[in-house]
Amino acid sequence: MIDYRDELVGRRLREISYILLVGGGKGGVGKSLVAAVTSLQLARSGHKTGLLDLDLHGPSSLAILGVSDAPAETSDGIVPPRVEGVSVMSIDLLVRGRPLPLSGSAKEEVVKEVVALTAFGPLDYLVVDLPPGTGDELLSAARYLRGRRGALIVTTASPLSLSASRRSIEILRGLGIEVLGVVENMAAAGARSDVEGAAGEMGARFLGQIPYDEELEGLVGKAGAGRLLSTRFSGALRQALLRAGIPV
Amino acid sequence: MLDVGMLRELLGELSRDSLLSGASISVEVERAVIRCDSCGAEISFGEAVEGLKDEEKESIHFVPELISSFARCRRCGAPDLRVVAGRGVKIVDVVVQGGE
Repeated sequence: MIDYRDELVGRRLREISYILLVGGGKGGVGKSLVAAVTSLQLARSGHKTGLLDLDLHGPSSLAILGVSDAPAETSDGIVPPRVEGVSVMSIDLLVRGRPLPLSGSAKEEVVKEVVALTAFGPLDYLVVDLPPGTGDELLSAARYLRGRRGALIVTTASPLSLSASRRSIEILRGLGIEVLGVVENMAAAGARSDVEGAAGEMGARFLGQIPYDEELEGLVGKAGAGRLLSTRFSGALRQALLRAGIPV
Repeated sequence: MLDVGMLRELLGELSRDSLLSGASISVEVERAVIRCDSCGAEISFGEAVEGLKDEEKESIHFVPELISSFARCRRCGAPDLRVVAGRGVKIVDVVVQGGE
């Protein structure tokens, strides 16, 4: 059996220089915000950047970046809307806020279809917002998003989040994906990081702390994507990205 | 929905002056079936999308699995719908005869 989408997926990926997967084991640790602001920083630094939201059950990239434009349908596929220079693709562009119940094999089909359909065009970076856990979306992303790639792990200092991150790192490495490092999000002001030691135990590089930023809640989806770049969150994230070798 | 006539015509054009020149190309249409994993009912794709808005059908056209977001089972009302047949276009088999 030959699936015509395989050729299309390969053609799309040949136009992408680097794929940055943003993951972590737990929900609610700020992966989507890290992915979205990383995309904005890459675009601001002059890189052609795309953001692919693969959190099929809880997509939030459109809300974070305030995207309201519909994607354009062209003969080459779906051209995602752009915000602050970032081309943003999310399943939410197609389901428009409705819930999406999907079982395992269907998730793989959706991931493959979205990768095949989306005409990002040439990109320096495709940032991929992964859902929590080590399920179908992660496995499908690893299977279909091949090329030069690496993963950024986002966690809080919570032992539950660290435990889930440890599992994610193990699976990512098993899938042949380089782990660029671990970022601690929502860090308490002035707190010494337990994440640094935990990252060392996982054999991963500790990239730094991002302090809890109260300002963010009031800004997300309300003040325009560009405003996110001037937050403390963005400043601390930039330092972490630079430590990971991401040129922002 | 795939235009089978157009597909046959394009395959004919593409195969001309190629390795496939003179090949017999068989196109079979598989009926799309949607299954509700909650109650086991199986319905046709047409029945499943009946009554949906054009833009909803358009989304399903792009990614058929999105049917579970827009439609409900006609029998039990659950959204636990899955495409079990008739999805996409696939090359099922290639038979080479008398090749060197």
